[in-house]
Amino acid sequence: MLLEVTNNLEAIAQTVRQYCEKKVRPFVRQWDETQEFPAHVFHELGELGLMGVLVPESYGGSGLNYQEYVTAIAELSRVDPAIGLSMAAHNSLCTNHICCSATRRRSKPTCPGWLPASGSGPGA
Amino acid sequence: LHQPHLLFGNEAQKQTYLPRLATGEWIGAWGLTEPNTGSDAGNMRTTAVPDGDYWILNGAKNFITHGKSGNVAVVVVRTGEPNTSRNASAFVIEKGTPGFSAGKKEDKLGMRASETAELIFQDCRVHKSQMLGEVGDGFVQALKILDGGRISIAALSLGTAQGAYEAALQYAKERQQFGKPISQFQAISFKLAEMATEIEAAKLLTYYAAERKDHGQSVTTEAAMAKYYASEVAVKVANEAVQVFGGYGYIKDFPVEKFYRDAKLCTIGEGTSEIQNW
Repeated sequence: MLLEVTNNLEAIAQTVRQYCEKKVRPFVRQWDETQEFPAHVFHELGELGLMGVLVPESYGGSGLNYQEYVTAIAELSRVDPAIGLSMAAHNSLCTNHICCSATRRRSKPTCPGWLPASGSGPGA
Repeated sequence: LHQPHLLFGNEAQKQTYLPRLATGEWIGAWGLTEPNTGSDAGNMRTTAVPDGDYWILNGAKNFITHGKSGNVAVVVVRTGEPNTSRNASAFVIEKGTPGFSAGKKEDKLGMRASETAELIFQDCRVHKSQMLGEVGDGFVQALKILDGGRISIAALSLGTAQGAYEAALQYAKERQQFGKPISQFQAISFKLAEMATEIEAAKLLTYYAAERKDHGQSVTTEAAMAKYYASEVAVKVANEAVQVFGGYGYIKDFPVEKFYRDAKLCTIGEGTSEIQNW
């Protein structure tokens, strides 16, 4: 079995779904037509812990793993792929680069992206 | 280069930026692509030249998500000769740094709520403490970041396909023709079954890559495969969803034309389907 559908994945999916139905779905067409970037959505996603999904809790992140991260992105993208894309770019690229670059030479990595082959991710 | 103060500096970078980014107070941008170098990143034209304790950046990055609205950007620029090994380094640069500005915001086919713009560097002076890692680390770091990034584009593709499929399924159950819902006609039900099956396959590939990543295993191949497959599925499913909706799929009152436009980014962003297979 490749997938362990944990309670946590379902809880994340539900949280994102609830947020999207209220705060995203009603505005999808408007944002698409005006091509406006709804910055407030990302501040709110931050309050839900979705802007530092892979960042350790000691740095203010959620300290979740990649499977949980996939669930969060997919649920956002079901409603508005553009919001999913921006959330993913913020987390995977900019934030992850800062998160990981300093840990490369440390003996104890703090970020799942740089774990040695024998390690296991937080929450994995 | 292995002096402790540099590592300490990196810890300071994390303390400075991560809490702001992780709480959503700040939005982050990331720049590797340039107008003339997409996947061929060894030949980047944006350069950083050392000047005492500073680096002077010149050049431009394009197709940058949050290029205008981002409060901070991580950029990978060339610090060595073109097409040599370890010729790139990464810097973290805050909005408002003199010489650092946003260029044109792109007017896109889809993903229109996600901002895409140019980043411009004109004699932008950046203190050496803003370098991430060490001189020459940039490209290796970028490849690692993109491995993880591809899992996120696979997830984006998966969600896009699911959204388009669910809309098509709901419509097919509601839309009556010849006295029954169109979902009961084989031409539609076989289409829906194929869409659902391919989404399931994309889901397995994506979660498999994620699971490997969670266990610290290499995902270079698995993430590329997941990204390639899931993105092709997103485009195909969105296309079929428009077809299920018929004429209503072609107008903006229904959600699938947007999925159709948005999905196409998935086979392009963070490495085209062609480069994933390279």
